[in-house]
Amino acid sequence: MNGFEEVGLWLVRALRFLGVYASSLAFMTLVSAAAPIFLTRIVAEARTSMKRCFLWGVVFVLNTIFMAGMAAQSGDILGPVVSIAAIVILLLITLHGMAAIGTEIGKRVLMLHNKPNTSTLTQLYVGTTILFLTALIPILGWLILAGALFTGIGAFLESAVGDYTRPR
Amino acid sequence: MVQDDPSKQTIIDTESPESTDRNSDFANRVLGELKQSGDMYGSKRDRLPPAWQVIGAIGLLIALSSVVVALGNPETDWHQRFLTGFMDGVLMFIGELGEGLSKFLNHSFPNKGQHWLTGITIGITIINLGFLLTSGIRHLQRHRQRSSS
Repeated sequence: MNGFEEVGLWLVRALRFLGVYASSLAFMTLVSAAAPIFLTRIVAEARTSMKRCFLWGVVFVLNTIFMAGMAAQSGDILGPVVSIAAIVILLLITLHGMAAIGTEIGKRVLMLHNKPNTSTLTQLYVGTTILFLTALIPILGWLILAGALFTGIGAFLESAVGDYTRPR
Repeated sequence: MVQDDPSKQTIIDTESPESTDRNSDFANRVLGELKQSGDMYGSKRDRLPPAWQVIGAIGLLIALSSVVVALGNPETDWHQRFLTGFMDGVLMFIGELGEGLSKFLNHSFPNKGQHWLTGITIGITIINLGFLLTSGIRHLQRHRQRSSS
């Protein structure tokens, strides 16, 4: 591989990273606009029972991966389709959780910058950008991002259970 | 009365006059609107849809996808695109992970890898259901405490 090809490869990787960042941010902006109080509840759950949310997030992700892996190996049509459905659900929950955790991180970072009164959108953008930039650090970055994602997923599930157990 | 529910307490904190003065962001404006309408916490826009709708949507997704996949010619580009979509990276990662897990278990437990994979999946599912159950109990206890006080 010559130098030009290496540079090209790195450019493609960078563009892919930016694509994932931009599309995730766009979805999280939609979530923040559509259900701001739901996000507030997810943040509250993550604050009050962080360890439990993290553990449940880990278990839920493992469960989804194992189930999707098993379904994908089955020979008939339904297996891959169930696998796709499981991944879609996991992505939806992950992005909801990440929006909540990103907003909380952004809020705290902006408080360090003596700007506690910023908008939710600014908090979301700052927090998500910091999470994605942290993920670039080898090994440690991914661990931090994964920790935030697991906590967000667990907090989403806690909030969802709260919705369904609340008397209507 | 509501101090036992941290999530509600947080919302009430953000709803206080001082907080509303300080924060003029979108979330607080929505909170203000909800407060005026009298439907502060139970607004449908900020709750998940009913369980039957969520489960129905998942079932519909699986059913429609199965029909499309079954009717389509696997050789065509659109069929490939449907299966991988724009999540090809995620799906390939999951597929490789599942395959890797299966190979690892087959290597560790010759001819019994699939059984181990099934067993581990069932075990994790039980733990997951345990979390679900305890979470439901916790939320129900909160509701009871709130309604009794």
